[in-house]
Amino acid sequence: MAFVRCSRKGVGMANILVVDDSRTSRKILRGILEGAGFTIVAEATNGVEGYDKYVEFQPDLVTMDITMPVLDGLGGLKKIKEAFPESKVVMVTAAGQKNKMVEAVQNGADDFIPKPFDSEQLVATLKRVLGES
Amino acid sequence: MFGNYFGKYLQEKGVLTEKQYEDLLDELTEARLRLGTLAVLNGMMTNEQADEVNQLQKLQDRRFGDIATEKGYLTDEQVGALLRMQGDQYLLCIQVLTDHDYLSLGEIQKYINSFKREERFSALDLEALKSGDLDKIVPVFTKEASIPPVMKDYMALMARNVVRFISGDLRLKAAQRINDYSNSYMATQEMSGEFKLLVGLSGDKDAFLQAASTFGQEEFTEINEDSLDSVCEFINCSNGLYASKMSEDDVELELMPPVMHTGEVKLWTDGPMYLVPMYIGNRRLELVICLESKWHLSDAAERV
Repeated sequence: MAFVRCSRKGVGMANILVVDDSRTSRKILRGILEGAGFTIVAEATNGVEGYDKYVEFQPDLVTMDITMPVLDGLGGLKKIKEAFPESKVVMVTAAGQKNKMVEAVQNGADDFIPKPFDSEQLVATLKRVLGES
Repeated sequence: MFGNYFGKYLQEKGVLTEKQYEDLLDELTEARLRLGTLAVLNGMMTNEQADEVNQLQKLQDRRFGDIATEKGYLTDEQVGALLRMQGDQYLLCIQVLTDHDYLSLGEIQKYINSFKREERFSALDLEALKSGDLDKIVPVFTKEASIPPVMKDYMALMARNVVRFISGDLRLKAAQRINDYSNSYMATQEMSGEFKLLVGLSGDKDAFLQAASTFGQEEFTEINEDSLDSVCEFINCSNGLYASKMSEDDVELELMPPVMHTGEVKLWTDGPMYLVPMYIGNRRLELVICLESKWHLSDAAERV
């Protein structure tokens, strides 16, 4: 018998925290993810705020933009992973940030989604990280 | 593309009204099927394959045909056939002008000659405009010898991204060196690494809002934090593609967070700074690029 690995919740109930300084990006991301059945539990605009919201909402997954003011996505990733090693953090990046991606992997990033968003690829990536594909 | 340039010239000469110029652009846009659409209509690709290539194009700054052949969806011969099917934009423009009795063929030839002479286009420049190939057209407007190659590359990439993300009706004017720039709003982003580049996008209100609305997938009617944020994000994605291309040549550039500016925005520098006017129909976007770190910006406010 084959067993499919499952996350704590199904996609329809998976709670997502979106961390991105761009309102446009957050809005597009929210539209795609809610359309696919995810729940956006909170939004944050930098790494510090992202960490605070993680502590408050304990989401199933975080989408973390890399280029942000105050504390960038790498800083936010480190803070969350240090305090919550079991957390799932998917980095969001405009193309071309190769060095940042390598650094993110070294700091425990679970995957990447490129900007501008491809909705199918985005949903598939999040499902895979949540163990639902 | 030829219609954008020649049509505008005819409008400025009073040969076409503004409405006739806009109608010309609309007809040319309708007649110009995208390569992916043509490939699907002709059974050469599936919808899914065309969508996949279109999406990859947004992430890789490469031509549709190049990606499709690399993925094995199309052969070089099929790409050639599709390009021929896509139609000759120059001939289409002539056809629209004569079909509507705007001009006779003889008059068109006369105006093309004066267009070439007055705009100081060489025979090669004119051929580039007739080709409709953006990669050939951009150099016509960035050929000033003093423009550093990295800035020329950036101008070409931004032109491709305006076409890709905002409007296919792009019409460029010659890049001009400037020492200062001011406007009442602007979106900027800095890139740094082996060299530093500051990129700003501004323009008239209608053009700026069109860019914000199309990229942000939302109708904006005012210049405010939301519309500025959308243009910031457009620049961020474009610069990501630029950084990606540069990294293929082992040049690493880091993107700084985009910044929105309002109020009396002033940008000045002693170093190389260029303004590239980019028209969408009659609306003017302004791309400003500074190289190296000698620029000064006033009235900046961080995004968020």
